[in-house]
Amino acid sequence: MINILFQCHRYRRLEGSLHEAVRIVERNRQ
Amino acid sequence: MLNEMNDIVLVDDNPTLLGVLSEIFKTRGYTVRTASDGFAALAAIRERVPNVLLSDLYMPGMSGFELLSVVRRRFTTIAVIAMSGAYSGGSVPAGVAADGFYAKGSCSIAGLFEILSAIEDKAVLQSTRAAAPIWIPGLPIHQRDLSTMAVACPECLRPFSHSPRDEAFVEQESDCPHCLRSVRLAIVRPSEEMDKTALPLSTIATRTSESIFASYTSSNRYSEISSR
Repeated sequence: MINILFQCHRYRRLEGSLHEAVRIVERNRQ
Repeated sequence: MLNEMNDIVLVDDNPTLLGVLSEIFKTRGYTVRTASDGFAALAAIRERVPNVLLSDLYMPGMSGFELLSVVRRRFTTIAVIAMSGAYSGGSVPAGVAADGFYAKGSCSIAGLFEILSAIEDKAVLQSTRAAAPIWIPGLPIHQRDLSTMAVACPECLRPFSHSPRDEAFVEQESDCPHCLRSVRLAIVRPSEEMDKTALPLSTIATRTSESIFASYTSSNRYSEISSR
């Protein structure tokens, strides 16, 4: 889960919001 | 500094959000436990008292409002951060007994760690706690009939009945028949735009569309309460 998220540059730097993080993870699960 | 506050309990009714947050905290060296509502969180806290509690506000079962109020009274050493998508800005919303607030829909995750660093300052912690209100859930005595509700006095914690005079009211005062303290009560309606990631929200919104809370501060002065 965290790997999916940390592929996004913003999330390696924790710059995005938590809601956006959830959307990214759920989109990649589908 | 983080070593002093590295045991955390995360509370949210969205399992994906809990998973994401849990892994982020683990990569930062935290010991993480998770709970899906207030009752599960209290069970985890009873098992081992954490340094930090990070809790959503709108959840089925025991809400974050009530959980944080219970934690404030029972586990005073825990630093508490409330989080919600229903509010924006950095200040703790009225009626929430927390040391910090994280707007999870708009604030960056890095911002959450800044809030954590800030509440390690004991002076900040004490100033926010001085006026923290106590959340008391209200229940209709008869199902679907909100004309008489049961509330608990935030001073003596004994229950008593309260009859709202007008369904459209925002705030009212009532006297506790046990300790005779005057208690301020307020109807709270969840915002339309609250917590889009909370999957079961559509079902709980109706159930919690009218709840009641009482606020009473330690200095015998009421804190500001606003309708949501």
